[in-house]
Amino acid sequence: MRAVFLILFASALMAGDDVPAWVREAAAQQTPTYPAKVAKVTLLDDASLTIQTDGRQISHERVAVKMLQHTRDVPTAVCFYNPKTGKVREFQAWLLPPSGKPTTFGKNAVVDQSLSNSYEYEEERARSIEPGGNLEPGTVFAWEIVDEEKTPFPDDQHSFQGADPVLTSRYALTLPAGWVASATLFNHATLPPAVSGTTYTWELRNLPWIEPEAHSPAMHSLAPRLGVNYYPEDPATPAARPVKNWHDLSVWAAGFFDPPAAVTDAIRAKSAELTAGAATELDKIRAIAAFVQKTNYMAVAINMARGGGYQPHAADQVLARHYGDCKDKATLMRALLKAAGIESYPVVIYASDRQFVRPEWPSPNQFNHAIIAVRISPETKLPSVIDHPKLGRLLIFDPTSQVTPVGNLPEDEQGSYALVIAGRDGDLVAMPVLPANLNRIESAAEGQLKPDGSLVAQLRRQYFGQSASYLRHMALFGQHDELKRTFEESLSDRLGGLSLDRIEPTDRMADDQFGLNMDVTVKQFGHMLQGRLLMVAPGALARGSYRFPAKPRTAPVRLNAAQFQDSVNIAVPAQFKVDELPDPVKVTGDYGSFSAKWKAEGGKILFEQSIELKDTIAPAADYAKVRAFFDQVDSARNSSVVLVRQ
Amino acid sequence: MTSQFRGRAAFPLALLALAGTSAIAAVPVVTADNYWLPITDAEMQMKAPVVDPKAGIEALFTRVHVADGYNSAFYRTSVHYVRLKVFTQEGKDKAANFDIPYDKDAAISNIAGRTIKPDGTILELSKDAIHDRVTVKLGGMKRMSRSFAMPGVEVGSIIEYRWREISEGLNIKYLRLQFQDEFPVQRATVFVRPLTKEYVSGEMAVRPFNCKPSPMKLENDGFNSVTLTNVPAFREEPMMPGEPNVRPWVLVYYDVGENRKDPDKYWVDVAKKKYSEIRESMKTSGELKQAALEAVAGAKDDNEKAVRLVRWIHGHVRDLFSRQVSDEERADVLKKMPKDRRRTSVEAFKSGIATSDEMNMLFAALATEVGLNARPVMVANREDVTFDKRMVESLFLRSIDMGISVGGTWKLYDVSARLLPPGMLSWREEAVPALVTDPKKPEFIISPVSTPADSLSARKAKLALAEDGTLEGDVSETWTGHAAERRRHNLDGESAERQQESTKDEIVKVFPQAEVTTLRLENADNPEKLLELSYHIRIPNYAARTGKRILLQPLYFQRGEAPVFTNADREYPVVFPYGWQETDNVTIQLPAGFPLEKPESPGELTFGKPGSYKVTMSTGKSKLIYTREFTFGNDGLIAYTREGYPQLKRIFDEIHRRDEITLSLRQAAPAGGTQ
Repeated sequence: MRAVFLILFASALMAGDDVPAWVREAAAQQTPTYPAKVAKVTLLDDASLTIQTDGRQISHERVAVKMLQHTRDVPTAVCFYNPKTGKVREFQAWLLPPSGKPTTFGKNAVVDQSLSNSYEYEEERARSIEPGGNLEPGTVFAWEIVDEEKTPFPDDQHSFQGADPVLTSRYALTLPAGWVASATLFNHATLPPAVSGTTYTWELRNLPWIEPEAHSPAMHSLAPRLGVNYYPEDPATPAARPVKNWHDLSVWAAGFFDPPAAVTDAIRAKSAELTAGAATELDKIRAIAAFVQKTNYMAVAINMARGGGYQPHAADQVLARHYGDCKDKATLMRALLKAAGIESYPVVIYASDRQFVRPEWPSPNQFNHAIIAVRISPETKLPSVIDHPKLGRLLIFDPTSQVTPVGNLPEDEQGSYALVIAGRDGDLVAMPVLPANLNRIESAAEGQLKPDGSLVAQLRRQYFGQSASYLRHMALFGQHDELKRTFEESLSDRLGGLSLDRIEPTDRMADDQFGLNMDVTVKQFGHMLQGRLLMVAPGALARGSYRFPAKPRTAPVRLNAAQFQDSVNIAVPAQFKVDELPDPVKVTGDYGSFSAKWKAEGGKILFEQSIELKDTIAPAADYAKVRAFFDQVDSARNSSVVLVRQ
Repeated sequence: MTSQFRGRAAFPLALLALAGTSAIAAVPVVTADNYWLPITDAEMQMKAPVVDPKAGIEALFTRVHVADGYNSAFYRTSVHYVRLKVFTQEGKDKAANFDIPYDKDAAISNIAGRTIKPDGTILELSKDAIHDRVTVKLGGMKRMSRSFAMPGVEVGSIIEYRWREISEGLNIKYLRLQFQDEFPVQRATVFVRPLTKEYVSGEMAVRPFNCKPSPMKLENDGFNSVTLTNVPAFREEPMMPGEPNVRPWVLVYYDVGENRKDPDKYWVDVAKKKYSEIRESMKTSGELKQAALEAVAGAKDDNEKAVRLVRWIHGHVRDLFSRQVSDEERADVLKKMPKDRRRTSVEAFKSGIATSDEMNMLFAALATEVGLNARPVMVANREDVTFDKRMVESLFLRSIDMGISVGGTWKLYDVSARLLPPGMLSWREEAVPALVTDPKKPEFIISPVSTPADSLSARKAKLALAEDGTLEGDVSETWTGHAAERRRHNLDGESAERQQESTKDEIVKVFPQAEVTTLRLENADNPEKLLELSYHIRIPNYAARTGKRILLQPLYFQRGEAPVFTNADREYPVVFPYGWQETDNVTIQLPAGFPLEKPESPGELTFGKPGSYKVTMSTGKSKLIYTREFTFGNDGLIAYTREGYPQLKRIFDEIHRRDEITLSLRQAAPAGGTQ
């Protein structure tokens, strides 16, 4: 198969001198010296978008990348498109080696690939040209793409760089006569555009390398990016829907979301069936939520040319087929609630990063997920409730998450901005951030240390809120063996050879708790020295924590609120007594607090540890402080109690 | 291990009549996709899975009917039929949607499906719920899939679906069919109906692997069937044998024109044919001969000659599918490749880029020119089915290496293994049967297995411990053989600067608090030399402080290493890729005023023939010296049965335990005081 692929590829390549002047000009530039890890630099990233009065967007992109070192991380020219709403008009690429003939990549070199392997009906596709491996330093790979997209959204977003450094990054927006644009630049100082006629141009130069670092915000929160809205200056022009604020967007989106949530006989009957035994408003919500959570998830996008990403299926269709995507589930839940006399609103949000949505740019392009806000009475009290000035008390709930009960919210959605779609009353609101103690993990270990250093122990862990999500998912989907393997591996990493003799999960999802009881035998928990000293680190039975390397930091450190409480109680063998205990530790910092203490009491070693992390983004300048905090946590975890033979 | 069961179709077939046939189209009728089989009360009422009590979904049966036909070209029709029962929410989730991928040369049709709900309601899969997606398209090549979502699936539902696949223009001689799936299967049946005797000679045979299906049965519709019951879902494990050695499957193939009754004769015929075919391509030229003679000039023996030729080829020819060749160059070579024959050695040399087989043929050609006795060797692969010559099927000897006769013994070379020193084979080709081809007297040999000493990690650290637990000093490490090849593979394609940076990142992963400076990595691109690493390291809090003691883990190189085996249960045998050896020497200067409290050594651990573990310790003036020697895989003992897993785990756990030895340094009492 590979040979066939390559033979086809061969016909797509042409050696020639038809390299455009802009590529040669870009390639002629000198590049500064970068850190040793930087393998390539973008010489030019020149993007332009031309808006037609009928809503079509013509996008034109020119990019030139220079290889600085040999690397497997070679650049790829990629163009994303949706065949239902757009087409790629031109796609060409060129490879200029430091010496020898340049290569032109023709259309047969283009790989056209579906982006959705597991979702049904999704039509997102990508076209790409790869220059191949083993590119010599000094090689320039350049490409030019012209594509057309018909979209109902009169806005656009543009990222000025990825991780690689960039010499020149430009974005130009050309509007029809009589149209105007407003823009917001994120992750960068204010930069007014150069305006010429109806063309607005933003240009950034010498953008530095963004090193991937653990616990850093996502790339789209670090790299400069632009959000633009455009619309006819004259409001009477019927060419496009102006989106000037979040209310406008709410009104527009309600047109998609509300009709499919209509209550039909089938919906009414199902709602009545589900809530038959429900005594309170909360009971009804929980019964309906549980049913919708069990509806199979499947991505289903229809009617893309008219904003199909915002078009749910009718609730009774979702009910009948028993599957749907996030907006389908939200719609089904709304209809079932409505039939039960409870009002609710769809909410659109960005699913995997709470920092992504920016309030200063009203745009539907900021969202990729739909959840629900349920209007509740004062009697219903739950942590994931917000007070909306016009809509009242709203219970925020994600029916797509099968592991998050009513009253909680997936971690990456907490604190994110989200659009509550409620006509003129709709608005962008901040999602609730649940306090750390609601997502805490309590751990208790009770063990018997043997004279040879081995340990038999029972570990009991109680996971609250979002800390339970991962384990609940495993338990819910019957992955008991996987659960056992996961703990065997993580405990072995800290404790060495062991046997996990029993693992018993207990899920109390309605109470937002997940319990885990484990019996373990650790071969060498205590390290015997000279046959008379036994060193034990009780903290090794506690949960692990973060570790940060000793190196300069460029990105902020992102920490989510968390709370861990550990207690360890180890019976000492009769032949030994405690000779040394570590000193208690208490640290309070800007980002959290930590305390640990060790006691010897009644032939036992008692260890207690408490960690609380605040929901924080620490600036890179404070990295040393963050590191010092977690180093102390790690050090305490590894601190040993010295037992001596008596 | 491989079963020797061999089922055969109950009808003999006539001689092959492939090329230029003008026979009337022979279209096999496969009607297995015209009907649903009755659903029994037992299936409806089934409350728990049968094969795996923990499974959320189980196949009540899977059936595939395979029929071959001829209609101006050979084609194969496969009709698949799956019936599943959903037992849990997990099962429901898995049964939500299905994807049938297929290639341009295949066509998927007749997709049908239905959900039978627990109350007996039947929901048909509607046509509009079936979608075509082109998943990849390149020029004229397409990879497609047909996807569908089953309606109304809930716990207790039975789901069944079927589809027809027709493949054309492919080599229909071999077909591998899996009995095992992602979910447990109660009953998996393969039905086969071969080409009629007008089109093929010999018989269609079905050979099962890693299972004992029912004897082949002739069905009323002319198909022959084999069935396997209670097939668990497949689960991957670390260091398991190649999948074809553990998963139950059948090879369906045509026994065409080859006498398989006498394995010895079969292999002699295969080897002679292969020799003749390859020999034709081993033509050289005056230029090549001259180059070969210059390359080996002054070599002291045949071994050195062979090594020099390998080196010469590495210097003049690049592997077509390596990262050394750009796509542009690769495409150019493929474009110019003759369609009807192999390239000769001269042609491959002139292009400067060659396939693995061509590199080996060039090597054999050059070796012959300098007077070495060279032969193409057909080699088995450890990642495929464990080879046994009684298998009489050349499909399982697909790799071509070259053998050089040195002192009457065949030494094997794979010139394309460019990250290994010349003469060392990939571990996949070690200790496997290899057929030395010859025009007169081919012979089977066993390919050599490298010794643990061939894959040596030799490490030294000269460190100083401070009172606050900081450890600082110089470290050097070298690797050879497979141990080096594994690292070289990870570094391959990167510049020297990036190789050093990624190596530094690996060290910092183990010691997050460490500062690593003056790091040097040598010979990452030269497998004939030691892969060498040296660096200076400073690790705060390496040793733990208590009130009056410092607790030190002296075996620096083992710090942070995870246990080799963590899971108590094991489904499959354990196969290490190769044997290896580690020799470590760690010297630690101790802080003044902190004498050691009776230091101990982990000592020696004996576990018989496979290897040895020994740690020695000596102390000098405020100095601690540890040496550690660990060898595993002596005499090729790298494969262990599932039953041997607990013992193997105990050995590695014990080594891990000893590697974590901790020493105590106690603060000396002030002069005149007491401790």
